[in-house]
Amino acid sequence: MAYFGIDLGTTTTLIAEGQMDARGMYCGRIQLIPQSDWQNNPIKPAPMMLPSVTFFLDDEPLIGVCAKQHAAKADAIGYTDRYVHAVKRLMGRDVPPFVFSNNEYQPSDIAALYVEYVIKEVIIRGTSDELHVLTVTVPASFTTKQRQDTLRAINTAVHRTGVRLQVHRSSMLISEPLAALLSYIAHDIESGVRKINIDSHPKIVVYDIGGGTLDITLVELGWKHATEEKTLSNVTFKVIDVNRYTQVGGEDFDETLARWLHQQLCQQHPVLNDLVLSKQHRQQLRHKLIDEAEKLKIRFNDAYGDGETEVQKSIEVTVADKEYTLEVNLTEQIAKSTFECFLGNNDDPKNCITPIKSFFERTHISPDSIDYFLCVGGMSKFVLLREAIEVYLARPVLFSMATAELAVAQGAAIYSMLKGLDNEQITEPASDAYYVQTVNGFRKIIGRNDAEMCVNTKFEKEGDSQYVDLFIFAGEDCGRGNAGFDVYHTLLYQGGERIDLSRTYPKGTEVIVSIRYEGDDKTPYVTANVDNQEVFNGILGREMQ
Amino acid sequence: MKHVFDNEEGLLSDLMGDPQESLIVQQYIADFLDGSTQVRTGVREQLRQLGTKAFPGMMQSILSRWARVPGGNKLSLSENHAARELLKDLICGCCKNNSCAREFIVRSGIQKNPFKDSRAWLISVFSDIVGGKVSQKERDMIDNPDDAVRSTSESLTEFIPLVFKYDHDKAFTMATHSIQVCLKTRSCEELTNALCLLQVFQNDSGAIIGELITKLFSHLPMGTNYQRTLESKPITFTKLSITPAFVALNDLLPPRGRNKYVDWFFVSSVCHTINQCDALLADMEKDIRGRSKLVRYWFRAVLGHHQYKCPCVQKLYDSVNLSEAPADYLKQLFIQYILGAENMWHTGIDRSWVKSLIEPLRTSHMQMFIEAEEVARRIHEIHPDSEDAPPPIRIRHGVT
Repeated sequence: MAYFGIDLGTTTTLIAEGQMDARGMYCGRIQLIPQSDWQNNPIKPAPMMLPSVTFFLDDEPLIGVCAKQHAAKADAIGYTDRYVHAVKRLMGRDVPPFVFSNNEYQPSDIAALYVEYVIKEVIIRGTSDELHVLTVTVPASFTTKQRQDTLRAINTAVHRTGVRLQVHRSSMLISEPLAALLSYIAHDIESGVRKINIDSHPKIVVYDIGGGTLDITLVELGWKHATEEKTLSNVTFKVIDVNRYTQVGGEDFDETLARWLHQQLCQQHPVLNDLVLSKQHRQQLRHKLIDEAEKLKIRFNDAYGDGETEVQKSIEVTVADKEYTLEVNLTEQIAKSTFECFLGNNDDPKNCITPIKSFFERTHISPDSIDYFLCVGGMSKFVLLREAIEVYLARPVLFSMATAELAVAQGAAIYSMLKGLDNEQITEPASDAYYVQTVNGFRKIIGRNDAEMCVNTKFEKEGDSQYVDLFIFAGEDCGRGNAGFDVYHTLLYQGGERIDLSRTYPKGTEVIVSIRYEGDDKTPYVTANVDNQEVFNGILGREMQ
Repeated sequence: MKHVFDNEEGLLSDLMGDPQESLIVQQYIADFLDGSTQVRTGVREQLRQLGTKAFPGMMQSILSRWARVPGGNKLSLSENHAARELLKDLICGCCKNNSCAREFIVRSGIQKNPFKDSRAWLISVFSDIVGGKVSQKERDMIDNPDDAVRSTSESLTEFIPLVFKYDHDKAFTMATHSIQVCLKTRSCEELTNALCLLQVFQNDSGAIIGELITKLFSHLPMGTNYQRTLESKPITFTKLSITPAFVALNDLLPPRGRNKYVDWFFVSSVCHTINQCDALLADMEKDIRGRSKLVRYWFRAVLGHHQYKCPCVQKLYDSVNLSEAPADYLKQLFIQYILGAENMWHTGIDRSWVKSLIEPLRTSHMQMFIEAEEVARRIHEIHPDSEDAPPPIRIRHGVT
């Protein structure tokens, strides 16, 4: 049996294998992912990360570094439309499919390509085991639709590769912050450093900011058996709360910095101000500026971390087939003002500090009652961000530069081991409650903490028909019954579900709809009963087709 | 060069957009619904600054707040005119020269919106935006609504005004089907929807309006009191639609008790048309002379409801009074109705004015007056308490 964890990220995909060290401690080892360059030459050494990007060259989708390089080349000849990135932000959404060579690709189809690639290149190629336990990470705040899309991507990849998986009742998915915490705790126990004192039943906030999503999860730790050996298997993870979906990450920082570069370019070359660009040239320039912004951000962060306060760079930019040189001097002051929307004291939807405030307000927990604040995810390496968090919390945060962007995959692999070897299951609350619209407003059908509970809701048919149409909204949990006015502004429409009762029932017929989550994938199963007879059984949350 | 970062295709691909932004916009709209004038001004400005970024949140609010909202009607968008106007202004402003924004409204607000009332409102807003120019991509979406939409609107009646803007034939086919579906339910609400369809086609040339009128009245179930509904949704006749509409209404008579339906609708539509454009009176009068069955309602229509002094009556009076032509059916009817107005109609009438009309006529058309007064007297004897207008009486058949 082999144990794997995949971090299916917005910008990169990683895979780790769960292993047991000589002392019997669980750990996750990041696996290298063999990739080739745009000329099909293998990249040596193989990278740890697979860029979550696709480039459609003729009929063939290219993945990872190869795709990124092809896209960079394609910029020059105007094929930016064939480049797909940040598809994770589209999961569970009702977006038009990507169309290449008359083939349609849903976001989950693109995500399946990344999972398929790492399964083929790492799991199948690298292990001789016939049976595998696999865990894939998702943001804690993913809605049921987003989770279902992710599961669809995994199932497609598993089907295509033919890899054999041991199926666990618990889950194929784990939330990213929880996976990162598992990895952190596993390392803490293994190394004997014990930065986190589990004996004191600590409350830990995990702040996970990656390429495109920000998650905040509150977990309480403890020992299952205080007298037994203090290993990871003996730790209890009680997930108390998670925040709602927050779509901000490294990509947004890159775009904001790219806008600043654009401004600099126009200032240094005033002739460009009145230039009218074609859509293709606009895309090309935008792509180039974002790419350069990402590099500049990393360089600035490294320098700032080393105590320097500015970096200079000379960038060659092509605008409408003409070359221009952009001289950049990014100082601490400019960086702070450019990233003010993310780090300052404001209500910008992309602000990275506001969600912490909202989280404490929502959970009615004082920041002072939190024992540890752990920062993970690729973007947590950004020093200005960590400084802003520490200023807000008025205390230092836990952070590991070495594992910041690896911890999620490592933790997923460790969770595979816990599932496979210890039959462990960690339950997490959903980030949203779900409501259906009725003539009297919105009725809650399943709450955030109803993971194990079956919720019965009685509906009365408005007219003669064979169907019950449920129009589902996700929002803050209102407690019991109907949503009050204070919940309305938190509702986000998720789609419709048609329950086919198999035959026509008259107006006024009572239909009892029962909804439950099964396992921790947050897949809501629904059954409908009329006159104590089950007339429907299926999965809720699929769009009506 | 300025628009390098303006690409909003991803942002506006569906309702989710950026969830944080959506929630903020929804909070703004909640504040607007419940806020003071000062708060409303602030919200308006905030939303204006957000531009198309506010669209997903606005649409989420439209979906969740259209129907009943706890805390009172003013918190519901369907009941709050000021909030609807705000949303309409923002949508119209942002959709100018922005195909992504327009497509978002069509996709999320129309094609995939399962809530009939908010969808109908968005269709009307979008119809105002587009004028007659609907892109092929927009057409494809409008022509292919989701099953969730079909499940809440079997007839897709609310789509027809929009479809009419780019495909008359398709709109006509949908309308004929829709009328049948609407009338199946026998409800006044659905009849109103069907009558609204006639309004959509009222400016159309040719026989479409006639065919729809025939379809509607021949499927209208008997035995229900539709008077208020039929009178509340008149159509405006145009130069081109007068003849096909009059022919259709005339041919519907007498269909086993449906006369009153035609009567209510016809009278109301003629009044409405004259109020809109009294120049059409002459065209209608010319045409009505050839409609032997429909003409019986003509004078009640032109004399109108409590509007005896309207200029058209004066014109009509002048044409009858000054006419050198021999006495005909129309003149007889006019005299009957004007007598009826004097003798037994509603109490609010200015009888002295009616008298001033009648006296010169009495001199010039004495014989007709004698006959008409005799008939009116008999009717009054039979129905002494009647306050309704007297039914038309055939004095001399066939003189049309």
